[in-house]
Amino acid sequence: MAFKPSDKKKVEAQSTDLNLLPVMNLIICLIPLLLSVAKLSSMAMLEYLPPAEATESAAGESPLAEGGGETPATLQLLVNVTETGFQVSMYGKIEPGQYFFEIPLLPDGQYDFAALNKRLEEVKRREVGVATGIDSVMNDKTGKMDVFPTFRVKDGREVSITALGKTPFQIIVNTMDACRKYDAGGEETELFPIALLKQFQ
Amino acid sequence: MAFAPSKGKKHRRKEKEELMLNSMMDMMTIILLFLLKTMGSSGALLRPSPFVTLPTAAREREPEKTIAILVTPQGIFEDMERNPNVLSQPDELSDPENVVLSGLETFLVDQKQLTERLGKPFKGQVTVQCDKEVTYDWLLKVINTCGQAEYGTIDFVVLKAKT
Repeated sequence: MAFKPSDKKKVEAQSTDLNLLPVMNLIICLIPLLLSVAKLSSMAMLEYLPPAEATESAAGESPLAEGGGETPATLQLLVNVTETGFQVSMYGKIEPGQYFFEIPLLPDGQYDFAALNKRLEEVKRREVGVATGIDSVMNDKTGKMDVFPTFRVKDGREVSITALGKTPFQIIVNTMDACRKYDAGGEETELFPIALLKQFQ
Repeated sequence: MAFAPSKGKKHRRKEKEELMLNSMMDMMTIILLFLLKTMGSSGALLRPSPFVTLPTAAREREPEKTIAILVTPQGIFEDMERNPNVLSQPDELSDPENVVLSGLETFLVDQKQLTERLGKPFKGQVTVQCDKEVTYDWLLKVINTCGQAEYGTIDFVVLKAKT
């Protein structure tokens, strides 16, 4: 006598759709959270190295090369942020001329950062010139070598900035930006990216 | 005379209608992966403090959170989400005789010692969220104090300028 067929064979296969709702709930919670964190993409970092960390070439050194030659050793570029506008000085000069000039405020009382940027580009071209070589220094943060150009003046990438005590931080940041690079119709040229903040004399 | 009920209606089976979530799941997963990748490449999380209005600058480098302080017109604070600790009061900052801010210096030295006790390398790096209205004389005091406490790199957090 044959056995009776198993009852299990007659059981219809049940639909086994995954219940995705809990996963959806989780994802819907995660996305707003991540979007709120993604705000940081609008933030950036302005790295400032105090003078001791910079090349120290601008401080306490004669602007002329050793031996009293014609070629200056340091540019000693200084930008003063005053109540009447910017004062730009090179080689420690304070007599008006090509090594000392002023950029007055705009008619609306704002600082003329565009004019400062343009004049510094002229200074870079005239006084610093093209790169004469390259140098490198170890970056402790990244562990890699940072390569940068060298110029005939040792401080060809540095600018000292001084301001009156009541000058807001935003003006200082804008001044640093104006000293940093020059944008000539989409083509960016490095000016003086190393800014040293000093006491107003 | 009333019409006979439609046969179609009479025999219509009520089928269970389910939402098709698969395509939505695909979309959500792609968005989630994109956001996670964006976050992963941004390093440590740093959020703008509600206590400061950051200045704008043409910078692109992503900020990193190290030892963080807030410099506001109301004084200097430890960077915390709520009720930040006061490190220096406005009186101390406005005093022309004060070149080094004692509260801030103590905090920075403590943080340095804590880092060393934990066996981590001390990088001498501090992240500053400085309000755009803070004046230059206060700023110089902060920089001077950081230098005094052997913090050689000061990272100011700014908002990227729209180009």
